[in-house]
Parts: sequence; C-alpha cells; structure tokens
Amino acid sequence: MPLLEIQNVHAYYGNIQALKGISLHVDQGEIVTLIGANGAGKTTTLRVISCLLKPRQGSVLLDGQDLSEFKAHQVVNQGVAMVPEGRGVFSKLSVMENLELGAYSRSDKAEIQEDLERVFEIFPRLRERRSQVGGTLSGGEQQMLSTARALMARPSLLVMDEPSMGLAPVLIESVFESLIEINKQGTTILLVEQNAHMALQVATRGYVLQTGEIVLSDSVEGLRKNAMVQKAYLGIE
Amino acid sequence: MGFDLSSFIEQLLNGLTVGSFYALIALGYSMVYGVLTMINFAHGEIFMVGAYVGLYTINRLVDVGLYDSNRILAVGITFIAGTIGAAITGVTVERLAYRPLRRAARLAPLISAIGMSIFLQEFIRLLPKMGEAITGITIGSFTLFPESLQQGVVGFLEDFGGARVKTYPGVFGVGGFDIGDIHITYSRVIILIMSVLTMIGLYFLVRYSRFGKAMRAVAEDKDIASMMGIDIDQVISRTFLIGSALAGIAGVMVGMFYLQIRPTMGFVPGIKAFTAAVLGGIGNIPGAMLGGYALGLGEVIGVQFLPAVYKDIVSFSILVLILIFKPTGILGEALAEKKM
Repeated sequence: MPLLEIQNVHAYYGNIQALKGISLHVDQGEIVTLIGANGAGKTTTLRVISCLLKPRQGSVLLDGQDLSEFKAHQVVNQGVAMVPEGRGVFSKLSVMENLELGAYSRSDKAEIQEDLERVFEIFPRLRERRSQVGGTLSGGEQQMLSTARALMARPSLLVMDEPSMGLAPVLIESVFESLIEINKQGTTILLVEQNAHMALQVATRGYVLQTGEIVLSDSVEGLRKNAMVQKAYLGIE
Repeated sequence: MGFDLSSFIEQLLNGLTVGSFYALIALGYSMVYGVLTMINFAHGEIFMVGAYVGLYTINRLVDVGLYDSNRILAVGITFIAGTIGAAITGVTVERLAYRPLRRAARLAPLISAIGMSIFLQEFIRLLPKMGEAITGITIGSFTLFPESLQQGVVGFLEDFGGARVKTYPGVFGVGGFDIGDIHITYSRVIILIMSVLTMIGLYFLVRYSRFGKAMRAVAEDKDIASMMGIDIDQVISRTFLIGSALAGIAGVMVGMFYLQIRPTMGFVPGIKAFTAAVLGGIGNIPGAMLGGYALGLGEVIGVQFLPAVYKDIVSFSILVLILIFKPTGILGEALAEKKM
C-alpha cells in the first residue's frame, strides 16, 4: 500500500478549477517529485494534502486513511509535515521557537530533544543561530530552518514546496544534498519543484503537472529522456 | 497659574493610575488585532461587564458579611469574578459574532463588533426591564416563572444591571501616606502594582509558554501555524479569553477607584485604550503597555497647560497625530505587507 495516494482530486478556488482530477502516489521510502510551471497547480495540490483546501471530488489517503476527515492542524499528527512555499519561517520568532513549534503536536520531551540534536547535526548552521529571530536569517538558512522545523514533527512523509526557489545554485545543491540525507534516515519525501534539473537528480520517480492535470508519470530516467520534458523543463531543444 | 511641583507629581501619579487602566484594556485590543487583524470594538463593553460582575459579587459579599470580616479575601473574590465574567463575555462574543465572519470581507466583523458593543451596553442597561418582561410571560394559564421565583429573578436582574448609576463600596478608602507635602493614596499604589504584576505575568505567558508561542505564530501566518499542528480557532478563542480577562481586571479596578459605574462607562476608556494600542503600535504587546502609560501621562501633562475638560481632546489629538505621522506607533512595524 502506498504511503500517500491521491485519487482523482478535483479542487476549486471559487469557480475556478485548479485541479482537474489528478492522481498520484508516493511509496514508503521514495523521493517523488512533482514538477510543473507556475500556475500548473503544484501549490494547490499541497494545499489539498495539508487539508487547507478541501477537494470537491476525489480523496487523499495516507496509509490508507482518508485525510478529508481531518482539519488542517490535525494533518501533522497523521505524519505529514510541510515545508511551505517561500519557506514560511516565523520571522519574529527565534530559530529555537520555530523548531519548537515544529514539534508542537508532540509531547514526548525526550524524543523531541533527540530530534533537535538530529536536525542540528544535519544543519549545524542552525545551532549557531538558534537564538536569532527567523527574519534575520539568509534565504538559505531560512530554507534549512523550514526543513528542520518540518523534521521536528518526526513525519513519515515530508512535503516540500519549491525549496530551491530564490536560492543561489550552490545553496540549491546543498539543499538537495540534505534532502538525500533526510531520505536515507528513513523519511519519505514528496518534492514539488519548478527546478526540474535538480529535482530529477534526487528523485526516484516523477510526475509532470500541467494546468491542473498530470500529463506524464515515469521514472526520473524516463522523464529526463522525454522530449517534452527536455523542451519545457530542462531547456534542451 | 504658577507651577506647583507637588501638584504636578500628584498629577503624574494620576497619569500612572489612568495609564494602568488604559494599558490593561489596550492589551486586549492589541492581542486580538495581532491574531485577527481586526479591532474588537466591543472590548470597552467587555471591560464594562467586568465592572458589573465585580459590583454584583462585592455587594453579595457585603450582604453575607465576608466584606466586613475579611476584606482582602472579599476584594480578591471580586476581582476573580469580574475577570471570569469579562473573559466569558469575550469568548462568547468571539464565538457568536466574529468566528462566523472569519472569511468574510474585512468590514463585516468590524460592523459586527460595533453591533456587539451596542448590544452589551443595552443588555446591561435593560436587564431589570427584561426581568419584568420574562417573568410576566404567560402561555394560557401557565406562567414561565412560578410566583415565588418571579421576585427573585427580577431582584437579581435589578441588582445586576440597569440604566441608573451603580456604586461600589469604598474598598480602598482615602487612606495613604505622605512624602513631603505629596499625599499618595494606597489605592493608586495598589492599582499600579497589580497592573504591573499582571502585565509582567502576561509578558512571560506570551514569551515563554506553549500558548504564547502558538499565539505569536498564528499572528504571523495562520496557514503555516496550522501546518505546525496549531488549532487556530482554539488559539483565537484563548486570545479573547486573556484579553477580556485583562479588561475585566481593569473594570473592577475602575469600579473600586471611581466608585460609580454605568452601562456606557466602557465607551470612552475603550476608545482611549484603542488610542493607546495604536500609539504603542497595534498588534505589539509591550507597545500596548507602553502606549497605555504614555497616553495616561500625556493626558495629565496636557491638562497642566489646558483646562482639565480638554483631557479627551488631548488624547484624541494624539490619536490623529499618530495616525497621520507614524501609523505604525512607537514599537510597531509595518504590518500591512502580509496581513491581508
């Protein structure tokens, strides 16, 4: 059984249809990427997964359980943690407070402390800056904080919305390296990206989203060879 | 009109007392604005309800003799009752009048707030009349309240509210101590100390508690806060609870200090506390405290140079000037960018 399964989801903003029946699945241990241009429906898909937007039709299953029964704040307790678009770091809260809020739904103090050590190991920079407020961090550091904060929920599925956005190429590389490391430690990842170059290097499988529809689904090798992907997302003529 | 140092210092103390009231009420405006970007115009009336619940409580404690046998305990119970009364009112107002409008246009909750403000004022004013109306209801030969109960219900509602001015017992008296030729009443000292302790408590709650962090997160971004597992509705409700409780404390203090209370008593302090919140930087908690004291002191300094009846003009001139020249207030930052 897949960890996350999206079945024929239709979603609307008012009368505007943003998702026209998309289906995808993410298996335990995978890194799956969802690539698409601006306005393709990537963020909408994530809003549906986080129960911030209820689909008009279709369902989202996590470990076989329908997420539509839950309110937005209960989703993290089911094991889905989000790294939102534009990082979503609480800019007036300190790094430590941001991380503590990542573990808001948990009460196992000792294990929270363990996870804090673990994320500080993955992102040593955050340990140095833990008493600084989020707004004073650089873009790369904010991306680290947002990722670390999501890991503090000890999720089974980590969902990332365009982690490479607005970052210098060298930083993008380190973001993706940390993704691989996190995945190796046992966290399944759904990576939503515009930067197909990087996404197709770290993921195992991928989906291509265009104007609210999944137009292509393949292994990353297959996608890299696909003429349409090459032309539209990799800039190869 | 010569300058008189001792009367000036007395005025400063007066400013600190009034500033305490403004600060306690301003905190509620600011906290609610922080999480909802909305001005709760019924906040002054929540303060008024606190004063009325306190008055009813202290009068009953006088009746049973506790007020005479253990005044400190009686005053303590009065504060607790007024605080709880205001807190319940605030939470109820949020639940009934604001939550259903959470996704509506920004003007809708504002109008709803003005409506709640009028409702609460009229509710307290008309309580005795309501008593008569309710107990008089008959359906055929069946009366809603048996005759034996009618008197009690009408009596309770008359003791509780009504259009006429009601008077607190003189809890604090006029006792005090002298420094040089300056007379400082205990009441001012007690009010100042209680207010400052309450605000320190609030500061620590917001800064260090789990709820405080959740509240600050909700104030910054509700969607992302909910991704963290924070129940937004619960945090908003608790924010109203705490802000209203602070207004309730101020309501009981004002009742004990000025003795007279009336259903319209919330309006002017409400608007002044709103001014204080804007002065300090709305949405900013230390700002509301600072703004409260700054406004209280500004008023007394203003009336050093102007007749005392111009006090309100001073406050509202301050409001207009801030809104023109520094709309973000003393400690506020640009809030407009992402709150929309």
